[in-house]
Amino acid sequence: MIRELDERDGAGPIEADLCIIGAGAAGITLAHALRDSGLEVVVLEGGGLEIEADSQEIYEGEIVGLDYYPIDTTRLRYFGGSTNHWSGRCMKLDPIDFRKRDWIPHTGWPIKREELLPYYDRAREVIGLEINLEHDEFWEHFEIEPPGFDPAKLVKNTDQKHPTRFGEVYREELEAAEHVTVWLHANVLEIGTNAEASHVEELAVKSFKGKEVTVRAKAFVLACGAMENARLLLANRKTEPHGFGNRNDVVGRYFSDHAHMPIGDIVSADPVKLLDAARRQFQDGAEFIPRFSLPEALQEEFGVTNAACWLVNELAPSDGITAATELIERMRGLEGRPPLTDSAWRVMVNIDDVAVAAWQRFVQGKKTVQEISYVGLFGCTDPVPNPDSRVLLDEEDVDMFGMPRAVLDWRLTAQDHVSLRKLAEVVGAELARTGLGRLKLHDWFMQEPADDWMMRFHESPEAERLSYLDWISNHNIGTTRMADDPKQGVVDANGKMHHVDNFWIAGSSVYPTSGSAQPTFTIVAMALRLADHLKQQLA
Amino acid sequence: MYRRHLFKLAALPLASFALTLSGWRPLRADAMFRDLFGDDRLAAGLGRLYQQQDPQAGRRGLSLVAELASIEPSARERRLLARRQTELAALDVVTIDGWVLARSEADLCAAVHLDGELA
Repeated sequence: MIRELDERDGAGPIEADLCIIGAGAAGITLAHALRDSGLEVVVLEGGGLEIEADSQEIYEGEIVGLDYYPIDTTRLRYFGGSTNHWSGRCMKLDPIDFRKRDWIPHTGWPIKREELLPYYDRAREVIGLEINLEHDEFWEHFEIEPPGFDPAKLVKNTDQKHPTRFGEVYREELEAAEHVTVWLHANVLEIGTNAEASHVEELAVKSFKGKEVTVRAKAFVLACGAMENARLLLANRKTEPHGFGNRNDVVGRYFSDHAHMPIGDIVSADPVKLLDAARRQFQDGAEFIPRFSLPEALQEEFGVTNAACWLVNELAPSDGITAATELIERMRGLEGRPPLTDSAWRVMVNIDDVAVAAWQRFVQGKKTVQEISYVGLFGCTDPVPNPDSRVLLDEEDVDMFGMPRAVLDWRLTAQDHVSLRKLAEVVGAELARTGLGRLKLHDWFMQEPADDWMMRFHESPEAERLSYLDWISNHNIGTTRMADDPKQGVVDANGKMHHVDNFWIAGSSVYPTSGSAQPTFTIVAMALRLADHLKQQLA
Repeated sequence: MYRRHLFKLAALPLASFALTLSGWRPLRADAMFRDLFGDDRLAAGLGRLYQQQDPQAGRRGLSLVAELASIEPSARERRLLARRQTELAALDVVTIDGWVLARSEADLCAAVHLDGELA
């Protein structure tokens, strides 16, 4: 069931077998997977069923590192979490994303990808991905001639866009769930532990209207997203002076996001052929986006990350159609149009386009024919794990509950820049070799690699010209990373906090590395894996 | 005269650029692409930048011109294209002013630049 904390009767504590903090992709997936497990599950959601100013305001914070979107707009704090505005792009992490790569510091997951594969299959069902396309399957499925790139140089892959709103899709199921109770407007303020901070006993929870409740459970899962997970842990300093779970100063560190931006223009004699080979496709409401990255051997040879790229393009009406429009507008008496003879001549020269457009518009009722006016290369980082890229607390600014606000110090490295450069050069060579086009990288991108390379993009003409393309993915990753060694990570391979026997963390905050895949698909797969683990632990 | 001859040779492996550009009808990015490789001054401009990066580039380009001059004229384009494809496949590329070029293309641009300096 789903209930308002303010409407709860009784003054005693809420008790459960498992308490999940946060009802986003991870929290809802856990509740969904455990609803028939026999466990009594409580989900604490800070917001309500719809977006509210009070709740969203909790997410306000400062940005001190690289430019970032305001952090109260990149995340949503209500039932469904940030799936309420995600673009829905899903893709598995690659095998190399799990590997310890000697040429990239702080890499390596404590679990193998093979362990996650069955959960990816189940995650597809949770998200509702009906079609599964990976690598060359995109081209086979849509019967498209692939670009003739050498597989030893570029690996083809696909991500799929299917923005399932978890709050909408799972609301009815959780309302009807007998053993799951979602409490709305239940803001966790304190994590109460034993004196050794090795066991969580209870949570102090408060609503916006001032209702205070204690929640006790055998086990707890923190699933509020990478920024908020870090803030909650860092702000809980009663038993551990530097924050709960932070005795090794890892909480909040290794924050990453996929910086992605246009990095070059592609000149092609046949842009239709180029785009046909690597253009996004649509089927059954889902969008499929082909992408390219370097094979593992080249990544190792070049000492680079698993960055990715894909094509972007713009469409514009052909000149003949523009001229026909001008002609019609002039005949209607609109001023400021080119001379009649000019427009008429351009219509005549492009009469084929105009005829097709007229047929499509007036007979078939379709949109005006458009032609490709621009093709560019869009790059996406596989961020190098960086302990200096982090979420901290603002000790001078607190939210309405008195908890310090988050400060984001997001950083990239020169190796991120170098990695995208090497990928782009290989794409440029392969475009030229296959005759599909030639690549000109943007001037800002060609400057010497440096940690602040992203800032150059903001000052570039391309940032303005292509401003509709986002440069941050809003993929909050890291801050409570997973590692076997407690000095290197906050949680172990199962997501359980080191030194604590009943506290787990879910979501992309536990990823040691990000890959270039969007995180939500893996968040759901990892949550399903955690659900199986918790069933065993709490049985 | 020699410079013109040199440019013709240089233009051969860049023919795909010219072809590309002739088929391209940019609406917004036209300034960037317009006549880039249809003009020996621009090839020389790229060559100047490359020569600054790699002072041996022009010498290699001139050697390539001499090598091409020694073979049947009808075989020159084929030879250059084969060389370019081999270099691209081997990722023997350089990036000049943002353009990803096969090394021989860049060398020939440097030769065009050097010829202009010598003239």
